[in-house]
Amino acid sequence: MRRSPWPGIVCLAAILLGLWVVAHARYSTDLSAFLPSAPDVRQRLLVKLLRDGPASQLLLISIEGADASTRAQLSARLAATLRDQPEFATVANGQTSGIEKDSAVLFRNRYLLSHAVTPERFGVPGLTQAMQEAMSQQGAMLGLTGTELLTHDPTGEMSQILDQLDASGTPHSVAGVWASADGKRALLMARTVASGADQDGQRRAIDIIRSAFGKLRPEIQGASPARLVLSGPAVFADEARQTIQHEVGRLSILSMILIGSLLLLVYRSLRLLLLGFLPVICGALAGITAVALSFSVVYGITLGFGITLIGEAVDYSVYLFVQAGRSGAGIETTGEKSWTKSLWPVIRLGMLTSVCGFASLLPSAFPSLAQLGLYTIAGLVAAALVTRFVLPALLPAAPVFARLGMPTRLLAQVIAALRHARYALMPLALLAIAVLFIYRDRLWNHELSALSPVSAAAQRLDASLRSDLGAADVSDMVVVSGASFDQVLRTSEQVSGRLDGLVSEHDIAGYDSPSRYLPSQATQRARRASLPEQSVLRARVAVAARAAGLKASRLEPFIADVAAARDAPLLTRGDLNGTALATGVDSLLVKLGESWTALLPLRSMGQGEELKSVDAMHLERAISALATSGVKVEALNIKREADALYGEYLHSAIRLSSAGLLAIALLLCVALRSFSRAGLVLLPLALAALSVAAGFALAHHPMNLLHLVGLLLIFAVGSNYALFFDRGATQAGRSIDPLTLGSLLLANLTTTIAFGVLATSKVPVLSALGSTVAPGAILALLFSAMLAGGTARSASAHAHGV
Amino acid sequence: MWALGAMLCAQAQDLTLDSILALFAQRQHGHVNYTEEVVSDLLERPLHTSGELFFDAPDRLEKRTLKPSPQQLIAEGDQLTLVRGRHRASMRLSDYPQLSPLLNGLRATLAGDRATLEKNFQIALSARGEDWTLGLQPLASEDKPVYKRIEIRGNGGDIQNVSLERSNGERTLMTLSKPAES
Repeated sequence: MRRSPWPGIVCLAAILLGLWVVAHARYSTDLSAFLPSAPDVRQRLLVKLLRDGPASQLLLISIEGADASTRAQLSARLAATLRDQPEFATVANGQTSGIEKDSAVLFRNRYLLSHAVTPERFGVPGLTQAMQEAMSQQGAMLGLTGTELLTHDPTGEMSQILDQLDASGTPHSVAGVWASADGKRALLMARTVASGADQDGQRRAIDIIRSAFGKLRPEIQGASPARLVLSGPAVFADEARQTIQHEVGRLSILSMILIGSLLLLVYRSLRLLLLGFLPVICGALAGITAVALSFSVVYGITLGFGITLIGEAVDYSVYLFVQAGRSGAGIETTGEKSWTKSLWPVIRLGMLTSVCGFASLLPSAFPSLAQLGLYTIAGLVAAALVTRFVLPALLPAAPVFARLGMPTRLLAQVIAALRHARYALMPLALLAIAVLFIYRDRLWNHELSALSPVSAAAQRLDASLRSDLGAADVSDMVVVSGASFDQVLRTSEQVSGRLDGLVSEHDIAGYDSPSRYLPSQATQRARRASLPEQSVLRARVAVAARAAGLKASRLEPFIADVAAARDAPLLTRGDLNGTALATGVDSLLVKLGESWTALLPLRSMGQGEELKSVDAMHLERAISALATSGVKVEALNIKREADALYGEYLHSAIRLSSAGLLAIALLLCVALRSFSRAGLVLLPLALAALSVAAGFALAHHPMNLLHLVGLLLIFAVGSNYALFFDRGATQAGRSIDPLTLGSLLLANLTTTIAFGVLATSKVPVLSALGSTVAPGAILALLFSAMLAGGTARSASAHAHGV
Repeated sequence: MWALGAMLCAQAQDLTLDSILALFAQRQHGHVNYTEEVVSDLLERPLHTSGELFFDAPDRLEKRTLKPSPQQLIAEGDQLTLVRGRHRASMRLSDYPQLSPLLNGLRATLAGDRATLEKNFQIALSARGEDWTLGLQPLASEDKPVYKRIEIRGNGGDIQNVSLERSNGERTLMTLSKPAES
């Protein structure tokens, strides 16, 4: 019998096409794979904030080791170096020289920027008081600096502005630079120009810091023990990216080696080993190709999940090879008929149940889950097709002997022994259900952070640096959104007024607002209108100056500056380019879709562990009635909202998984044409999933989205085993034949290895999936085998054949 | 000037620059009260402030102003920190050439650091018995020097007053006195 060459040709062409797509696809290790894509505007805002909000540009730098003065020197030199780099918008370390760059802009526009500018301040009493205060405040400096500045700015607007900008809590200071509360590390804060979405830009900024520190250290005496520690969202993203890249490579290779060694041990043939991996490689290619063609990017984490495909796709060839070994003369002569007729339908049904399971992931709002679903479906279908149509032609004519005798006999004995104990499965099931019921409130982790690839140690370090720097991780904020930039700025000013009230009542420690850096046009116009006409001002200054002890004749520079300010144009965002003020505005006032959105992050009272959350009632009351037509004002707690959003997705994932399970059940009913047979196939799988879930509950390990997916996979993967036992029962009359049992054992081991390797991953989502499916697959095989005896007896009564 | 200083120093009975600086160098810490008077054509009458001065060798000088409004000015190394109420601002002294000569001159004198003094100033010493006057004229590297002259008067190892004259005619006179023993 001649075989058609077409399957081979089609396969080869598909491989080449796949390789081309894979080579040209865009890959991303962006953390957004772990963030849900959000349907409505508010959720989009939330996701945008989590991804590239103002906090995402913050880098926390800590210098540890060496002595305090060396650390201070390093801090000063590092800050000076970084300030010269265009990658950084601001670098703060407790020295004010960063403000210098901006002081010209601030000074020129002081009458538009100072909160103190009102018509009253430019009346005689106002001027007198302002001058007296300026003299008293600057008295100690005057001896040093001279009075030149005072002739331009006798009312002290410049120091008023600097106070305004410096309203944030100031960290401890040791040897003139910021330091941790215990004084053991020098601290700096840098804001990158690149937003959180621009990973490469942030990566560059991180590299610049590291190399600048590396160059400085040898130049400063005694600095060799000093170490640089970085933290912040950009650092996390970067580390997560490296971890994922590293892990995906490491785990793939480890799985391949372990599975390959196992197969080599059984087959004792390099050719069979390579043939066995052919469906895996084709499957992986098909999976990546499908994802690359359907999504704009392929997430690195999808490739990590894809490792599980190795364990599953290799099973198909295992079944084929062992079956070929049975005939003793390869699959060529008599084998093919029996293979396509008897074994292939079982494999196909198993593959289809897996596809049903994974298809339920496709509508998921988590891009990484949807990609996992598509990747696996395409991969499994491709692997099965290659096994069915391509592999048989490539099998050697010589006999294939799979060496499974000894372990199979052992397993058969174990199963025979356990089969007597199958009634113990009933109480086991009841026990698992009882455990799940008792722990029902603690089964699931409802926090988005459960999926975060950032390690707990890194999160703790970040929290301690933030608490030392007073840069608390912003959780509470007021969000103002509207159609026009200036309208939003105007409303932000009104909100700021109300927040000032909360600050004085100690409800919050402070807040930030874009209006601090750029007043609205209306406010600027009002301030400009407060400035009196030149002759009027001169007359008032004459009186006020005498009262304050100044010579009016020397204040002509002031009078000229005010006259110039009266005619100067209002300040716009463009005028601030290149200053720290611009960064302040840009990070707090962003355009989302068609509307402008201002963020007013709140700092809560207390520090570190004793951080008090903001009283939501007080906050709501404070900002009530500020919304006008076209401008919305809302209070937002990012963590609460994000967890709520995640909770929604968890529930939708539970619904989707249930639907997937139902689809699997329906498929089995239709394919097996028997409810009872379908039920008996599903029973051991359900038992395995229940046991694994109960195990997590007992271990006080709350499950997340990926555990849920893992539970679904226990059905998808385990159905293969159960179907073989079902077939064994219907065909052989009493029980499964030893060779099939051997192939199941081998298939199960490869699957367990693939998921087991995944369970060792440092990336939580990967280990969650692995640690669910690995034990689940073993239990599924075990339970299927234990229950198969019962299947045999009950099924032989109404055997329909497959 | 230098030649004059050297000539005066040569008179054996009077104090020399080295012997004055040696007296300062022996002392690691200093604490005095001060009153400061600023004379400027902007001010109707001289501005008076007062408070305390602290010195810790080699380079920490703190001016703690108590009147008219409390604030601290701390020069330590290249760092100048101003603390007023809850506000604190630090800057690098080397970024502010209009401030550094006075502070550096004062600190170098108090530390007895002749090398630093000679590097930054043209020095003129006149001494009669225990009384001495040290004139420091910044070795101007800038086009428009802010300071014309700094003059430190003392008696033995004690500084009595510091005066400085700016190029625009403004003058600051700081008078030091021993704090009342508490």
